Amino acid sequence: MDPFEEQMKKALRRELPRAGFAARVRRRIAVQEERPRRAVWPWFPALRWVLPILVCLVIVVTLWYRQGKVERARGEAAKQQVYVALRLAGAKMQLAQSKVRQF
Amino acid sequence: MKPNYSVALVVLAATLTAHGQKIQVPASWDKLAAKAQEVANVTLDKSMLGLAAKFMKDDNDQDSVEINRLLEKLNGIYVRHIEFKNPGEFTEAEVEPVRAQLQGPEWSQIVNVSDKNSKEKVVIYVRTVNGKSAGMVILAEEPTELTFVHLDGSIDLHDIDALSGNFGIPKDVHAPKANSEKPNPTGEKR
Repeated sequence: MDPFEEQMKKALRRELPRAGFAARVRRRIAVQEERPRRAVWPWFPALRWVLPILVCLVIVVTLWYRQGKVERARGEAAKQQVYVALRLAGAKMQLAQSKVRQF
Repeated sequence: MKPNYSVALVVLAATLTAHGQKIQVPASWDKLAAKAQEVANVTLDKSMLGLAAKFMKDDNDQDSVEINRLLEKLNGIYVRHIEFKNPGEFTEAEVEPVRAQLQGPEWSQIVNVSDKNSKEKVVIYVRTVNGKSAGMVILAEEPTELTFVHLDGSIDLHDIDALSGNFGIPKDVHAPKANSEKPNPTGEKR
């Protein structure tokens, strides 16, 4: 048997736990369960509402902004239409006036 | 008991008439528009005029103030303008249905000019309800253009006068001033 095989055999041999191993494990588990759990929001408890409120606020502001943008576009289009109507009305009045003057 | 639909219809028609009268442009104008070179359609009801007025206030100049004053009096602006490449694309038959709607007792022609040489015809109608102006229609026929402008609301030539010099509206055409000594330069040409 070469030295490598010797080492492998030594490393992989079955070893029994030391006396009281199971008791020690059970005790450690019990101690861990008794410790207070770390809170998800360890700092100020009201802060847990900040994120959802911020998300809602962002949604509301985005919707408001988009609505304003649509409203502005409609308003500008209506304004341009008023100008078109007045220009046409003016042009035709001008035509009527020139004809009246000719007569 | 059978419901009397005709009475309901009359009441509905009377209500609609009381709140303004929309002149229907015949469907044949849509066909004309299809072969036109340029088309302008404007349909602005009271709410859209309000919106336009709101955005005009932002401009904050004298013209906008005058236009806003005018818009406050209006219930609607309806425009159909069709421009053709060649003359003779439309006939009198296309204009007649519009003219027929302006024959009622509330409507009167204040200007009617017709030039046979240039084949141009402009008629301005004013609607009067209970002695108050309630709208104005300009119907213009030119060899390559057909224009219908309906300003629905308590607008008269004085209001247009306030806008004179802008939008191609002539400066001295319209309503005589209340204390003016000169006669109305427009006159009525029928």
